[in-house]
Amino acid sequence: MNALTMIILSLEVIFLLTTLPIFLVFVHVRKKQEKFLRALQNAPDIQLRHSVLLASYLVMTLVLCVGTSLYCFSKFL
Amino acid sequence: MMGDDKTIASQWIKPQANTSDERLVRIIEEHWIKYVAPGIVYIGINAGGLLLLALAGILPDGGNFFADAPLLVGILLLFIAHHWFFAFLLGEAIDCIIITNKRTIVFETKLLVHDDMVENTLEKVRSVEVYQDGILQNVLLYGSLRFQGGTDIHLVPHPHRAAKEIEQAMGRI
Repeated sequence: MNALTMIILSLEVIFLLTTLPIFLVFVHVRKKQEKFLRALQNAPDIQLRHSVLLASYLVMTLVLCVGTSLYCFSKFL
Repeated sequence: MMGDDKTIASQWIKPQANTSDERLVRIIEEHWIKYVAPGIVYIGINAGGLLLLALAGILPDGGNFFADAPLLVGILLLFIAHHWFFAFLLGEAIDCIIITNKRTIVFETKLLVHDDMVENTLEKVRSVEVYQDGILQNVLLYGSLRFQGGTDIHLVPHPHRAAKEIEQAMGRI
């Protein structure tokens, strides 16, 4: 395994780990907003749209990570 | 703090203790125009990153770092653009304007950067003015609401309708 492969693997790991703070902060802020809305009368449920967006983010992250890994390994191995 | 006609807080403010009669009138999403410029930048960066990856596939292996630079830079561009754009999207998705029969509340969030709530108490607001400046705002039907005695709200779709609803909530129509 050469230096470039190591660098790319490190980038992939950092890329995956960066998802975590974004995910956690989003969930935290959304929960606060939902709590706020629940205190009002006749408030609608806005959870679904946010969940779809969050799922898209996680899936796209995985796809990008696996895609670039496969591309790099097909080039070097 | 809650008694002020406008409130900007770094932490989110809980609903008032005596809000049992506070009723939601409407939740307004900000206009989609806010996604256009970042979307174009995202597509541009992704196109650049993919071009560099394609270039790295065409170039012969040089065996040194500089020969592999297009590959590294391409991957970096794709990764940074992905996280930046989705952090922006998720933050903007939470943003909204909430109109109740007592106040208007604007949620302004940029994930990992700021998390604000701007409030206008309707009983302190003297009037609501609508501003649609420029061709873009008039064609795409969005604008700003300016509260006399409060803070402005920007990127409001169909601002005249929103102003009417706020004035109804204020009991002036």
